[in-house]
Amino acid sequence: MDISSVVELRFLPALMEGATITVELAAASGLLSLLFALPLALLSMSGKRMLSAPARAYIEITRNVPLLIIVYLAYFGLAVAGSSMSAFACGILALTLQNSSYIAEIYRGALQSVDSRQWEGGKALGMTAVQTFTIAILPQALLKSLPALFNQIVLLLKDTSVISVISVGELLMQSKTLSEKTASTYELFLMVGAIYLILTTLVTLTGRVLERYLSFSH
Amino acid sequence: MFDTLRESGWLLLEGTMWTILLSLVTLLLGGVMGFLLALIRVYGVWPLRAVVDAYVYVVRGIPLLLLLFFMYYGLPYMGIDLPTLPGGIAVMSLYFTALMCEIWRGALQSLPRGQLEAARALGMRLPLALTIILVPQAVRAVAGPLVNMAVLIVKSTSLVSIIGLSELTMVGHEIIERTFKPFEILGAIAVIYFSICYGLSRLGKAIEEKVQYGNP
Amino acid sequence: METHERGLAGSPMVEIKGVHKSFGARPILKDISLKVGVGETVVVIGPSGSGKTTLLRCVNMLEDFQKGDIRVNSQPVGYEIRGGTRTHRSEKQIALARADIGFVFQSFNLFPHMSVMRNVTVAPVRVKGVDRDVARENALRLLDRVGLREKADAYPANLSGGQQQRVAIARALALEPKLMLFDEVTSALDPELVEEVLAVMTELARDGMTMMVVTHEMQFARQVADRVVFMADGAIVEQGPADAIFGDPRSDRLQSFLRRYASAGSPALTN
Repeated sequence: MDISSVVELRFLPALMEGATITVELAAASGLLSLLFALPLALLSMSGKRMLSAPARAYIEITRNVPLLIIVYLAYFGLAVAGSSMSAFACGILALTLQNSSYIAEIYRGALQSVDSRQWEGGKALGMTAVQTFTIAILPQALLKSLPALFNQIVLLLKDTSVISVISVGELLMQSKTLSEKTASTYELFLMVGAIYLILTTLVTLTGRVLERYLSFSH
Repeated sequence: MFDTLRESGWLLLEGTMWTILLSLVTLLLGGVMGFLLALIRVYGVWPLRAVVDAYVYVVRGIPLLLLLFFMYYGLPYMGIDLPTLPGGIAVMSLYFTALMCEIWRGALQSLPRGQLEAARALGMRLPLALTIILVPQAVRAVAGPLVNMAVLIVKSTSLVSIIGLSELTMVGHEIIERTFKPFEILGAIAVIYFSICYGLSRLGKAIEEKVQYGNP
Repeated sequence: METHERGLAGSPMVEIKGVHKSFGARPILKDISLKVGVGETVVVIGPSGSGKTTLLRCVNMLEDFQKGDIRVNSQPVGYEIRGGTRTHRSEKQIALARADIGFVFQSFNLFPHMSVMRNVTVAPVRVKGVDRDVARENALRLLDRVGLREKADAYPANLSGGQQQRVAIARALALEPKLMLFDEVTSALDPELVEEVLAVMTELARDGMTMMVVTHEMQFARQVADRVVFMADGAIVEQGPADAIFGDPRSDRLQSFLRRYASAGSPALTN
């Protein structure tokens, strides 16, 4: 049995295109989420009710509603608002809305796990709270959150498949289209599964390598 | 807006019921099978452990929706005529068994090594030690993650609407198609999901506290 | 009474012959041979890494070993040597043998989800098939002996370290073992809780229990041991009655070991 009977090479171009869009969706919403999640986390940890309450509400709401519903809401919302945003951008929006919450919680956990004596150390050295935070606390928290962050990226990659419902041509959408067009059997889905597996494995391995590298340099 | 909701209220209720039912079945099947797989993973012989490892690795690396699509679109072309409902349940269970295996494994491995050693030193063999010493403690350790898993399951049931299985999201679609009021319906659905999931996570926190050892 | 000689009359309770254990390429136990007589209390001392804990754990097969043979009460425990062949005994056989040996751990290892009473009765009932009520009565007697009768319904999380360890001793005794093994049982305790545990062990020794004790408590060794065994680098370097070991150490290793303990402020050694 030669490999071309299992790996149906004619599918590859379309699948690769889909995979590219999958990665683009994940990368864009991943970066945006990583950025937005930090102020979100800080707000949710604030002592002032007026700041923390809306942040916590946002986090709890987006965490406890299925991604599919968020996608639909974003899609219909943008349509009603007369926006000309593409389905692709809409997908990024929906993914970012939910992922920011997950990542904010990761940040919060990491920040809270940094030894509180670090704050005292900063004070003793005459640093302001902001200085202590940026120089001492934040780097440690970011380091601690790396494993959970990489795990979240894997989840994000898998979540991009849900965006197929608004006809964005990512990997899963391609597989559905191809299977209908070509009436093919398991080879197609096997290939798609393999591609997802490769992507998620790459992310996981990168995470482990990064962790090891960073923990040595300490 | 509220007229729409009143009319669709019963349908939404029915959809919610299906969501809860599907979630419970998945939780039960996945929880039990995941537990058995975790036993193999922690105490079993190397070849079996490798098989379980491979299974968990693959399932965790691919999207649930892919598995659902494979069941719905792929199987018929392979000549397998599986009705969507049992197929959906099977896929959900298959998927969450792998995730449950991981949390049971974490719970079992979080127990101090000394527990099994003490049981052995008292002349207990593995099955007895598991039954009366290890699993009771593992159940306490797994309670928190289990509730988180339940929340995940409830959210994931929404995906079966994409392959036409009836649950809350599917029902929502049908109502929207009739009434052309996407926001009210989606909003109501979001509220329902939120209530269930947020309620579960509060329950989870309460359980986590109750499960701590020692009476204050 | 010549306690040292008392133990070795008749067949020994523990016979360790030619035990070798390596972890990969690293040797942990080198050709250990040792006998413990019935009713004898043998205390094993030595620097960390000397293999004394590993040796103890080999006796009830919590650790396996590559060469050699250990018999308790004339029965093989982990390995059986018949003719020329050495076979690993089955799980079932090993479990049976363990029920006659009591093991007390450094970290107590009480079952946290069970009350003190249940901790002590679970093994007699589930392993030896003792009637539940009989087991309860015995448990109360044992708890009385270790001074914790009133804590029978408490849970381990509510007990101090010393109390937990005494429960652990009662739990080990509940199976009516012929031999008790103590693995640095006071090392994890706050200093003020050590005495109550040592008191229980002293009484056990005086009541005639055969005991092997790995410990750093030199005063205890001096007062209670019928024989002291000094181990270093996986081998037995010196052994003998407590007076000889502490008063007149022969080998350099032992002398420097004792000097370290003397300078760490153990007044008992300089008495």
